[in-house]
Parts: sequence; structure tokens; C-alpha cells
Amino acid sequence: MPTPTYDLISSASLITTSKSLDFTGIPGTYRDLILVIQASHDNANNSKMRFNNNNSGYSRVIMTGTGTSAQTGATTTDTELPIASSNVGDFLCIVHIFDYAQTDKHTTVVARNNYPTKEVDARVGRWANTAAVTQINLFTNSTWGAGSSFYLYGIAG
Amino acid sequence: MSPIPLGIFAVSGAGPAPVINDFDLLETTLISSNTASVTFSSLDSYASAGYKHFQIRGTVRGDDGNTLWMRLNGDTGANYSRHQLTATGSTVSSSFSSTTRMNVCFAMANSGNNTNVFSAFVADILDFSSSNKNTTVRSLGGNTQQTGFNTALGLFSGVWRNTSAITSITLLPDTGNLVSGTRFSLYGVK
Repeated sequence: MPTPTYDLISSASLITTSKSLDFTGIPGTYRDLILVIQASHDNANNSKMRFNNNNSGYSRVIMTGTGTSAQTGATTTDTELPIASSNVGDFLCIVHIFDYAQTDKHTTVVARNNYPTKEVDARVGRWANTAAVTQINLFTNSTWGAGSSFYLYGIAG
Repeated sequence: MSPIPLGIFAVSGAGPAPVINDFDLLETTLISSNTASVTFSSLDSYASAGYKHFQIRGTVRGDDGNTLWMRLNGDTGANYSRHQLTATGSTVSSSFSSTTRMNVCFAMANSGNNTNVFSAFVADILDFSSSNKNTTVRSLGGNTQQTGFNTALGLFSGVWRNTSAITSITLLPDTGNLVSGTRFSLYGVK
């Protein structure tokens, strides 16, 4: 029997600028989460994500096309997952968070980021922790502009 | 739940919204012991129910392989083409082949990875019931590891050079088995 899913769990839209946002109390009733961010940076710093306010155990690999070159980079022991590149201006970021409530797997993330004035990228990240994700902590060393919006969806599985 | 803003936000969605969805979970397979492949079959019934596209979301780990393949309608012939753009953290590569399968996840976690590491991917199969177009698939997936082992991601495009409606989808590793904990969920989009 098909199960309707892709449910909006929560959303927020900035009225004024801000530098952080937490989604807390995330229910463990879905299989995956999808985080959609349509935002802007007011200076050239990136946006980042942590789970459960934990600052260790993150790794990621990224693939970027700038219009003139294709680039890649990876980190193995980081304090957060970068989810949007350092640049001024608007960006769209879609982050798939897999098996976030499973305690027999690390939490793996697959993301796509569109930064029309700078680049396009894809990235994969992992939080080396088997705890169920109950909160997502978003922050930036830049500032998100007014009108920036954040949507968290739940996907049954 | 509600997001906790440290700035000034307009907040909505204090729980699942009661909306009519056109993105439905159809089936999930969770592997409990070593398995050579997983097949979603009798998919023509979903076309009859009005679904136009499929999405497969998965977390995968093998005992030996490092690429997850997809085949359609059980065809093992050299009737597929695929392009891929991959990155390892040090090298970006692109390749094309006309081959016996499509790739859907690169750097599949295996016995060389730490315990609890699973690769993840999202694959979209468009117009699966059409009988006047070859079936096309796109996918993004990969894996990371603290040691750097098997760290990579890939963006894949594939086509099955056949206009038959899709009735089955098979997922399998390039070598060896899929292991316990591997999960594939099939979704239908109307």
C-alpha cells in the first residue's frame, strides 16, 4: 500500500538577518530527512551544519564546477559539515540526510548546492556517530539575509 | 517541533502538514543477511496506479564491491550507456561507457570501511512506463571515511537503450554481496 510522504516537518523564513537556526525535537518516525535552504550570504563565508549540537566526527568530499574548472576537496576529521560555499549572494541548497534515526549506522548526507554567481557543486558527508539525529544546527560565519528560508521534510522509508 | 531561531524568523509547520502528496513510498527492502542483488518487480502495477516516475533512495554497504549497479527488466546485455562525473577529494574524473548496467552509487562502503559506514544515494528513473522513449536514470551518491579510504562521490547519467516499459529494477554490487543493514526504498511520483 503506497504511503504518502515528503511531509513538511517545519520551516522558517527570516524577517531580518541571522547567523544560526536550530531544528530541534525532530521526530524519529521518518527514514530520511530533506533540508531545503534558499538563502543569501552577505559576505564570503559558507554555511555549515551539525547534528545534535555535536562538534566532532564529520567528514565530507565535494565536487565543484566554477565555469572555468572542475575541483574537488575532502576533509576527514572536521567539526561540522559545510553545506554551502563561501560567496556573497543567493544560493539554493538541498541536503538529503539518510537513516537519521537508525542507531546502527552513521548518518550520511548527500547534497546539491547551486550558487549561480559562483559555482555548482555536489557533496557527500558523514557524521561518524550512531546516535539518532534529533536536532540539526545550522550556522554561518556570514549572515543570512532577510527572506532566507529553511524547510525540513520527512521521508518515510 | 519548531525551529529555534537565534534571529527573527517567521516560523510555520508545527507538525506534519495535512496535505495531499504525490510522492509516495511504494516499497522498502532492508537486507538482513548477505544478498547478491535486490529486485523490485511487478512495477507495471504502479503505472496502472498513475505513477509516472520512480525515485530510489538507499544506504548501501557491500562485502567487497565499491560500485552499485542498476539493471532494468533483467536485461544483462550491453544495452546501457552511462556518463559519470566523479571526485575523490584530490581528482575529478569523467567517463563514458556503453555497457551492461548503469552506475548509481560510487565509493560503496565495504569491508575496508569502518563499522557502521554506509554509502548513500538518490536515483531518479523518469517516465518508467513510457513505451516510446528509452528509459533514463540520474543518480548522485558516495561515501566518506575518516582515513580517506573509499572517499568519493559520483554524479551519474544512464540510459537503457530500450523503449519497453519498466517492470523490474535490479540493484547489485560490482562484485560480492550487499550486506546486512543495506536499505533500498522505492518511491512513486505522480
